[in-house]
Amino acid sequence: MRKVDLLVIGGGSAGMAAAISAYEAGVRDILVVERSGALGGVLNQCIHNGFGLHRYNEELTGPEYAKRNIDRMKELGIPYLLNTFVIGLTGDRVATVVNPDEGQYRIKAGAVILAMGCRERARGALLIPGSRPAGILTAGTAQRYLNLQGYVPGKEFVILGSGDIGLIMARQLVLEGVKVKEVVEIMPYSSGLTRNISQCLHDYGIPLSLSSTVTEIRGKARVTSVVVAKVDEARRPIPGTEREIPCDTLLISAGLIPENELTEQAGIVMSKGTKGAEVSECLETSAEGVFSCGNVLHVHDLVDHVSEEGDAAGYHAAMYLAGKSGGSSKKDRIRVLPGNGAGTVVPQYITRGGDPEEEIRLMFRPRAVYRNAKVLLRCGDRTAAAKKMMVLTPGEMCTVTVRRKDLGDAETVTAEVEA
Amino acid sequence: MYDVIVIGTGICGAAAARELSRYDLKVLVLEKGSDLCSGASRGNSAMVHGGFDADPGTEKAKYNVAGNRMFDQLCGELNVPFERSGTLILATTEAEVPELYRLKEKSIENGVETILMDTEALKKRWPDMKADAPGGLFCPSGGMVCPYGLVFALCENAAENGVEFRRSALVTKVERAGEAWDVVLASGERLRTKIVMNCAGTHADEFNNMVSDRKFTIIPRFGGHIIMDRKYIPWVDTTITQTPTPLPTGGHTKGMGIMPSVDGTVILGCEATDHTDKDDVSLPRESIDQIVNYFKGFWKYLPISAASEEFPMDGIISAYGGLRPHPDTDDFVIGEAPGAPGFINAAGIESPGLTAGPAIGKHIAELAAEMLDAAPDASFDPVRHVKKPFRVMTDEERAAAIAENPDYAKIVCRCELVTEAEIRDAIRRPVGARSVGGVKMRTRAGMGRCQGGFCQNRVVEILAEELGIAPTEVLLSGEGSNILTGECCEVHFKEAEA
Amino acid sequence: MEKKEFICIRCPVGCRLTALVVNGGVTEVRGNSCARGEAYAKQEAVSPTRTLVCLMRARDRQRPFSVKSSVPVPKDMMFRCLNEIYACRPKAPIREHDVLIRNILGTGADIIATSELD
Repeated sequence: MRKVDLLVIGGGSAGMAAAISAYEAGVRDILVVERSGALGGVLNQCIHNGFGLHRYNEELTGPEYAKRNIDRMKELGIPYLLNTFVIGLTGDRVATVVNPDEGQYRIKAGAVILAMGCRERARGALLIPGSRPAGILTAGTAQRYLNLQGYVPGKEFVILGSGDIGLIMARQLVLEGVKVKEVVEIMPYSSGLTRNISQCLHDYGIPLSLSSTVTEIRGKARVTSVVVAKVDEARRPIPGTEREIPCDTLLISAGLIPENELTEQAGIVMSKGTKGAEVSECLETSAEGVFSCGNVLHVHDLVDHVSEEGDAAGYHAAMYLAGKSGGSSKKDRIRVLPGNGAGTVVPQYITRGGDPEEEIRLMFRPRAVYRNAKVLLRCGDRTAAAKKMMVLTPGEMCTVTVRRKDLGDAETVTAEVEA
Repeated sequence: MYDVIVIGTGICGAAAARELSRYDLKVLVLEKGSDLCSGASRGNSAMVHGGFDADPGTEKAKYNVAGNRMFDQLCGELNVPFERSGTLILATTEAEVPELYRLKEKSIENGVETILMDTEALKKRWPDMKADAPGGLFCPSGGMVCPYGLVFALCENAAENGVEFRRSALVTKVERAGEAWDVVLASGERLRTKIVMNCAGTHADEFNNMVSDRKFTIIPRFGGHIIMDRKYIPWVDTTITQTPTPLPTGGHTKGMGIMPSVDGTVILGCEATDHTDKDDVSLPRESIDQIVNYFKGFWKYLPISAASEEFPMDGIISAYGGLRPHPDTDDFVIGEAPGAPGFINAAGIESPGLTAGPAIGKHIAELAAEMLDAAPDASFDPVRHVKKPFRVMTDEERAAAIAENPDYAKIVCRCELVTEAEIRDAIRRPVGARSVGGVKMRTRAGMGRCQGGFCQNRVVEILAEELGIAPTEVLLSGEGSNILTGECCEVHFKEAEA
Repeated sequence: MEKKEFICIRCPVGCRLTALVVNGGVTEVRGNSCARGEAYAKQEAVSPTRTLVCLMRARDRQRPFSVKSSVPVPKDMMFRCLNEIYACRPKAPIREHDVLIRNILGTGADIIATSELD
């Protein structure tokens, strides 16, 4: 069985940031394992710009942002494997990997960083009634056909879901001469960044239908139309509001799901809210020496935050390997909960007994749109931290920091929104 | 001229074809779909019924029991996964308990072992059941198979043993041609044969009624199913169904059930609604709602409630439907059709059709062989030679497979752990895959939780390579289902020039 | 006088802006919360520009690579620029920052590669 000090599962933005950060914190025996044929992760297929505004103070396209990390990886000589799948992981850090050059074998790691990213919610999981013709695909799959393989997967699109991926694809498809007829969103607001609504829909006169959903797909060999209906407060279709939209493709952009099959296999405690692992402020999971960061931990909106999280995970993994920390799940700790107005919050635990001056960063996703609101961290009746926000939207995760000493003796701390 | 033409590659047609290949006969199998198994044999609950609940003395009872007994050997020879995981009929109200006794009586008459279980016994065997059920009836000989996997395997084995297959071959007419039969295709082509086997599923009545004095009608009966994530399988070790409910048109349904598929996912379903379109398997909203609502109530009686307190909507990965051919005779129509010598029916094969299929196929094949005075084919090989899926291989088997073929180390479908080697093999095999759907049905690539979101791009590339076609010609299933419509950077915006 | 309304894209707030245009010049901006928004409105109301990001194909290669305009181009010239870009089929290999088209259609913007192709 091979051994490595630090195994990073996933060579995307989170994994590379974590590996680089660990290296800079002194770890040398690192191995990054990536299942596709190149490092870079999903950014390789995101040809639009808007990445790196925070991290590099520049607006970069996906491949450019990825290249910054890839170049750094190569500069530092951090070892990585491509076309390598991790098909198993145990709670005591033994990974089973397979690739064509080496076959299947096991690696025992001193520490593991989970950075596997997300998959998309599919039509099957949405239970959209109707037929199963060609012309139904998720935005990411369409993005790969177009940007990695050079093929257009349809001529007339209806897009289900107004998340950023769907919006970005809407624009890209228009630039490829494809007709995008409508974007249908089940919520009463769009989950995408406002700038994308403007630059991807308004710019091209693509209508956005809120509080609506696709209730049926029609077509035998290929999609011929979809039926769209309005929905009520419980998001159930309202009978009588159906209208048929002729099209040959339904693009589904209905949410991302962290890919935690390996995490669950390893018996790591999961969070129902984020669908990622539960972690401490060190990003350590319930399995000692196993850390998690990026989209696999919770779905991010900005890759800059993914990289930041990767930085933190790499650093903490390095500290763990140096014997300076770790075993968060066994320590005395404060539970972090999402309160009023907050959907999910990461990390789910803060260990006591660390540096009292340490600034602990929490990220949470607002449940609704709030204007001129205050984000509070409350320990019972006491407010441990407060932050004024001009606008809070479910499309953008919010960060709030608190010093450990300000949490005091509290058992739990709740992140909430005061409108 | 052919000796036998089989119409349809559902379980009966496929089983008959394979049995016929034991003889020295010229056999042709015609399938109207672009791939094998396009009808009811694909979209069902995958149950191999014990046979206790069929009405004694019927063809259903006879072939169910006989078929059930064939599964171990058949699936062994064909390398098809089959599990005798048992079937439990669960009564959730006291009013249902008499039905259990009734079924017990039937099982005795049918010669099928069943065990009555009271609340204590149920709790002991399945401690994860949250609510107390008044009683249940357990049938140890019930099981689960991969239904389309079995059909593909039967067809492959038949093909390897010399049977000819034609897909996208729609039969429009069958008519007498002297002592023989003419099978006419939609293309106009006429195929002459001594014997016709009518295994045409929901359309079997149409062919029978063209040639026989004894007519019958097939009503397509729709049933929907939901597939749940494989992470729930540890809590589903046997099929549990509700007690059968009477149908307004007579007879009973099998009732809603939760099934452990042999591939490790969990199947829920199905209800029964009579439809009019014989081929439309679109899943209506009502179907999905009915299944979900039923299971929300049934949940607490099931061991799976230990995995999730309430019915987990986010555990659903897909749904599908199937049209069972319900005959107005209420029983299978099997044998030579009156007034049509050499025209053999295997019609009205609704539940327990999948289980009965191998026995029916064997019977009608032997009937034909007798009629033709056929000699056995010495070169017949009952074994379908195929490698195990990588997903279920041991470490040693994987190492050996990779050493022999490095494509076994290229994972294409992450969710179901399907390798490039298996995908290429599925295309190259006899009556192999010709489309993304064909690859999916043979390898499971695209059947997992992401439903092809990750792997479809690569599957399309591999199909294009193997079939020597452009990726834009690769189909999802049949003609016209091209996945890609063109290449990027080809558009010229005329309006822009104005 | 013309009243133009749009959403500001300079930050996540997305203020709804109104710009009053007289004789091709912006006389007033309403709805902004900051100076960046005002500047955006002044540009957007009179001569809106967009950074162009799209694909380009190399000769003899199926796989495309991505490109962007070095500076924003006038919005009403985007589709003409796309025609130029799609008609351009350079030879591989392509490296990041390669200039594929200089000063496209006189806009002052270069079309540069943002991904690589071997």
